[in-house]
Amino acid sequence: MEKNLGLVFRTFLLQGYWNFARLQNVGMLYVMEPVIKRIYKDRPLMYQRAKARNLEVFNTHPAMSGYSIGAMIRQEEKISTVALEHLAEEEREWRIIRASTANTAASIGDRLFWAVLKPLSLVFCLLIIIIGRGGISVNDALNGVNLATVVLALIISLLTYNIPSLIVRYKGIKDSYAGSEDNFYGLINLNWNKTINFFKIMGQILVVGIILYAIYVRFRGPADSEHDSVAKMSLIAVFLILSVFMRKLNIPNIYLYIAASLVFGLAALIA
Amino acid sequence: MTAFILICALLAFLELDTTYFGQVMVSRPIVVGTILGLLCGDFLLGFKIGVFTELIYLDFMPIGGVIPPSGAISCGSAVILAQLFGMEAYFAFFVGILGGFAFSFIEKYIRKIRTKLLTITEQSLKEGKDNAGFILFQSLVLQFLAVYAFLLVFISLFGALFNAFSAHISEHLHIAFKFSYFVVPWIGLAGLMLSFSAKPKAD
Repeated sequence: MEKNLGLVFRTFLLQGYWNFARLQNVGMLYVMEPVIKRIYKDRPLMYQRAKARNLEVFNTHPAMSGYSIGAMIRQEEKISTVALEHLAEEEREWRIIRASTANTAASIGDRLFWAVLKPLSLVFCLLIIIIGRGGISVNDALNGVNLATVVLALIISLLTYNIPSLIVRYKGIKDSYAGSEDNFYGLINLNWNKTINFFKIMGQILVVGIILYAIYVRFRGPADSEHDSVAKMSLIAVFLILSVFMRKLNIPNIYLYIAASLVFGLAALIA
Repeated sequence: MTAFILICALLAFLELDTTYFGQVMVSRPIVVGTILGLLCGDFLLGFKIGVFTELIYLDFMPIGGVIPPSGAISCGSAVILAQLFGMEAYFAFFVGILGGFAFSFIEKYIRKIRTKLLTITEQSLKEGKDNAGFILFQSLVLQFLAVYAFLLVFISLFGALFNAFSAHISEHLHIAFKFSYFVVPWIGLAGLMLSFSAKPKAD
């Protein structure tokens, strides 16, 4: 098999020609190009056929793409050895492997990377900012934090996402190449649900802690005036409740901000 | 003017990371905001806008063919408008959000064009006229240019509009947008907490 690191690097361009018809197909051909070049070195017709095959529709989570790539390399090697009469059969098998690994990996990747690790890395960033400012609320901390703390927070945040991403990219290729139908090409080597749940619980605990601490600091800290403080706390309470309500309705919170800006703006124009 | 042109180019380059190249999270608003803030002279404002943008963009996930509004463009536009055009942060943040939404329509259009060109692209790849690396490079360059052009037009337009009308903005309107800006972290933190609460579906 090709050097894993070279293939890992190529997965960073998987979405480089994203299109509505065949999604990541050109990117996938880019990843597989050195592999099929090696396999069909002296067989130009088979090489051309492999290129066409690799241009078929493909879509998965980029960080999880290794779980398809390794399995596809192995199947490609198998195709290259079969007699011509069995070619169509092996190609059909290749398509099944490609689709099933890509779909499953996409589902896991969306839940692990987009829904959990990305927000968790933001939580770590906020925690470092709060700790770096000696434990004050998020809003106040953001007003006085120094550059070194921000840089540290960003580095930790980026590493929180990218270390698992790199490991999964690398391990995905290796495990799926060595895997079989029995372990779903390495995809069931790890208990993904347990991992996702662990990060979710960690995230929930940390965010609740940040919110409670921020509310505590607001009550404890010196207010502009008692009236002002009550007004601000009421406003915060209303928006926290509205935010939860919007989430239950599956409406992104950004619309709550836009609505608030428009309502406040309209009220200001009328006043 | 030179700073504006160069910073927009940097922002357009970082935006590629959102979907097309890398996805190593350097296009995240917290990173984009800090880098642009640092270059414009106030990293803290950039970082703050980045955190706020990131908090209220959490609900959007680029799953499958979904094209969410761009957090990098929202945050970057806001930082540039606030620091190079003198727009108040609470107005700049709102305009940045509009920019992120506006660009998602352009992004959809670019992807449609790419889809239309797919047949020709695939043909040239199959025939060996081009290799996939070159096609991807071309695609990245075109994407960069589209984002760059959008940024130059959008930010210049809103910067000029703000300079023309800022004197006529009432004090009440300032207070209104300050209020909505003030609630952003709270809305975002509630959303952040709930983003961890959904139960995973079975594999």
